[in-house]
Amino acid sequence: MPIPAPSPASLLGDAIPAGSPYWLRINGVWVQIEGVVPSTAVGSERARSSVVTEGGNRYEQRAREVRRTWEWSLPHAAAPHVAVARVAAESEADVWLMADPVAGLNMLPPRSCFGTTLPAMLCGDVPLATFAGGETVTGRVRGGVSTTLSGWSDAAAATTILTATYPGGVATVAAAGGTAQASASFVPTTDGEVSIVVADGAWSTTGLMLTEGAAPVGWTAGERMPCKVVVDDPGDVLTMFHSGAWRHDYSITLREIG
Amino acid sequence: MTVWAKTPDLYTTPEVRLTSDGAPWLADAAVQSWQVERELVGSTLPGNIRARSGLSIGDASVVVAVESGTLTPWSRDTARHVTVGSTARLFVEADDGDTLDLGAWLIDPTSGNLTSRETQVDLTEAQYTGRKTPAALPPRSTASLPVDPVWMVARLSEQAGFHGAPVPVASAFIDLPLDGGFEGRNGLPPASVDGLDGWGVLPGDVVVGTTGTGNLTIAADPTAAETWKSGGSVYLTLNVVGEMRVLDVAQAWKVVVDAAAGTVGVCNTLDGTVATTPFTPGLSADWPTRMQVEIQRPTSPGGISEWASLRARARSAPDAAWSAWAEDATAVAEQNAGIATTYLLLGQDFDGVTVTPADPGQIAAVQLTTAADAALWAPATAHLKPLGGEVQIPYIPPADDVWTAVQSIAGANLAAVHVDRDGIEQVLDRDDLAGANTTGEVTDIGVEWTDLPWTLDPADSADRLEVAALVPALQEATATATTTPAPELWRAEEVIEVPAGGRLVTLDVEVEGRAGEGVFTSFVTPADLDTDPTLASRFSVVCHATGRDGSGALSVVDKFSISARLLSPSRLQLRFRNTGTVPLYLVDANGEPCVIVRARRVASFETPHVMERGVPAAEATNALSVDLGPYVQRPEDVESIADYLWARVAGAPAFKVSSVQVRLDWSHDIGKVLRLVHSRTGLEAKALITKVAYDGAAGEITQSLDLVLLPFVWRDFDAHWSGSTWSAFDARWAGAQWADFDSETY
Repeated sequence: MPIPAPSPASLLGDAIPAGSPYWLRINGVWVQIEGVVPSTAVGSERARSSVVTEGGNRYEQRAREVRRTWEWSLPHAAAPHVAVARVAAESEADVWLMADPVAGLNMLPPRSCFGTTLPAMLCGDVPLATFAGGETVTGRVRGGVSTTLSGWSDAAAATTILTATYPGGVATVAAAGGTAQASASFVPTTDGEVSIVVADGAWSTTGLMLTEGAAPVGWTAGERMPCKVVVDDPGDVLTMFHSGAWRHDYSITLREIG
Repeated sequence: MTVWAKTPDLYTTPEVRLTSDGAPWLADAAVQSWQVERELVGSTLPGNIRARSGLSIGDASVVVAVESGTLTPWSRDTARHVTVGSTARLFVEADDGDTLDLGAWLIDPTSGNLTSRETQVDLTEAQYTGRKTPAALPPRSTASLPVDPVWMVARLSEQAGFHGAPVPVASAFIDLPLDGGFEGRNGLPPASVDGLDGWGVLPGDVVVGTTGTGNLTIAADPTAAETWKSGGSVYLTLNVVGEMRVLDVAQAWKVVVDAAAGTVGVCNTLDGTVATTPFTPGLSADWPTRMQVEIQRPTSPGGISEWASLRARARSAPDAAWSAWAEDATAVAEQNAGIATTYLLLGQDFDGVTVTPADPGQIAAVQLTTAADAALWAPATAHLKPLGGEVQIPYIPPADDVWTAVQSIAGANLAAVHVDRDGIEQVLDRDDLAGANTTGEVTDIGVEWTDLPWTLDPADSADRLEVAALVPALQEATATATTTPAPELWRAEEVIEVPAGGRLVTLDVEVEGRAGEGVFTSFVTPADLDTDPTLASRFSVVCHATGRDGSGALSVVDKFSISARLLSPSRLQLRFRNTGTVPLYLVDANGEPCVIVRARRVASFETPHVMERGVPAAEATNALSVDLGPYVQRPEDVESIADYLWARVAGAPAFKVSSVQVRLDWSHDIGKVLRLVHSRTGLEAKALITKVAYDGAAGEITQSLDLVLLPFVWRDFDAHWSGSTWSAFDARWAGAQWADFDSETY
């Protein structure tokens, strides 16, 4: 059964799309990449080293940031399926990757969702250290997509705990009262950064989540999306040749950079 | 505020950055990997006695990359145009923005290529710039006293930009750093001393000062403080411990400052009652013992116009409020009433002061200025310590550069000088290098170190020690003594030609093996010698003729001038001017060169003074020779150095530890003393870190140390038994034999 050619991307669509979870932003436009099989390997790399002393004590050092690698496989695909990837491989400008599973959960960088102050606050099922007041956290959003910022706090009801400055406006999150999750939604006008300021006060805030769509119940860790990637030139195995019906097994590697 | 100390068991490595104001191409560059190595080098360090002496200059190498494009020396984009030679800062940055400097650097050769983004930047420690400056010690006044060797280190360090006492300021008319000598800086007068004789570091401060019971008298140039005559102020800024009395040299008034009690007082006569007001001492974080006293002669408010009382106020930090004025109320009242018993005449010069610290007291860094300059409080960039001994004639070989001279002087006195990570020059004296000033930070080898590689070398011990020093042979005479010839400093070996035309010709001469003080600036010529032949042996001599072989007019007095001055004790500068129409040759009637420069004092460093320890030379199998050069000048100082060295090389050698990788601890730096313990093998030893090397990349920072072993000293024994009495010690060993004591298992 022939695989349908990819449909043009919808910039202003609100609903979470069915099909491939991957989107690439090329030349300022988000394009959904069809044809990627579900079993995609996502590798993580974080530089680390360890020192073992004479007495057997081990000390570990690690780098602050972790970077991921995606291995996409597109079997029985046609050339149009990898047209966007080829453009991305040649592109001199930045290429961004978005994965829908992450978009629907938490797009913030992993360390930006919580602070370092103890005692911890229970966010859903996860105890997280809280922010010291006044800290700023940065995430990225897509233009035209409804995005929700949420966090846990023990402030009194209606106290502003978070202020988000996004392309096109400012949104605030007001506490719900008790130790509970509170959220606010907004729609950015363009792709860009959102700067989230944790309000300073006699309460604690933690467990931030930045989600496309409604906020999930319970806290999940951030996975830093959208992220800048470099796309390798697609690998190609020509599997079926018949005039007009060429089919290839493509493999594309994307590496997170920045 | 990050505490830069031992890193935790799981350590997220911080960012390392390289920035430079003079190199904009580094602003966008990210550091990929880096290596830093800083080493303390000294030929007389314990365990390193036979090591070749070198200079303690660190080096580093950093690989950087820019995100967009390659760095090249031909790039037209300033953000990618590589330049070298500027100062750079290599530092570690923690999450909270706190930084730890890894030294002060200069950008050395930098290399890269087009196929990779990596550019390698080599760095060398910034004090290397001192190497380009010829070292010079300032000329000293007549009747100069011997100095502690650290005075020489201080003057040379100032040439390289490191100041122990606050920097000289333009408004100063008295400037006495008192860092090993009683000389003034910038040609200002020295102090004469009565009773003060020791040198020590002031508590809480890092400046060297004089100690003892006595006083300093400083005569000022009377025209220097002109404003004081008509109601202005002079500012006395100095570091003092205890009470200090400042007396007018003419003994007409006194100001008394008590740093312990926090009062400043003034009296218009020498013996009258002192009127005091309080002030708060110790407010300056950089200088806990420094204070500034403003001494003012306000013009008479009424009454007789030529009288004035005296008032003074003090403060102990540049931004602290001044105390209230201390004023002699009796004097003011009498002055207003026209009773002339306790007044000062307006128009009286500021002749100078006598500063007397309390008994015993310490004073340092004395500066008298006509303005309250903020630079008087600038933090020190060198932490100096007295090195011990006395230098009669400060001398450095003429060809030495600044940093070489500093380390030669330190090395000869068994000390070490290095620049620490923050760019502050540190002196480690003999006691520091022996570990006598600390019991060391306890370090368990099994927990902190990956291994303990040790080397035991019989060459580190010796059965015979020879210590040689060039003790100066001093000749001294004044020009007025007609029977004593003045010593000769230098004489010309080649014919000097002075061209016609009136241009000033300068000739810099290096005088090997001799140091001069008080060179006679004017010269006698054969015409002068006709009237008094004894002048030839008492003054500098020059002969000049119009013919190279000595023919022609021998004396063309009004067309030729010559003067001499000392740039440094062993570097002489001659200046000639010939306003005639023919060139002149400085030869005598026989055509031999004839320029002889004499000085009031000349020391020649030719005869080595040798101290021996151990077996005679014929029987020695492992002899050690140490040359202290001209830097140690008294036989008793040579003897104490010989004893110190002999105690370290006689007997069995101690093991050395080199290049051991340790758990990353940011507080490790050269000069730190560790106390090593290892329970499994029973090790207990003290060691001095002499080299720290870092190798860093993503997620990995390794640290390696080189150490030398230190013998235990009294302080360690004392700390171990701290709190115990002799009775407890005695009871502990009751009934024991020597063997039990020795075995440590009793």
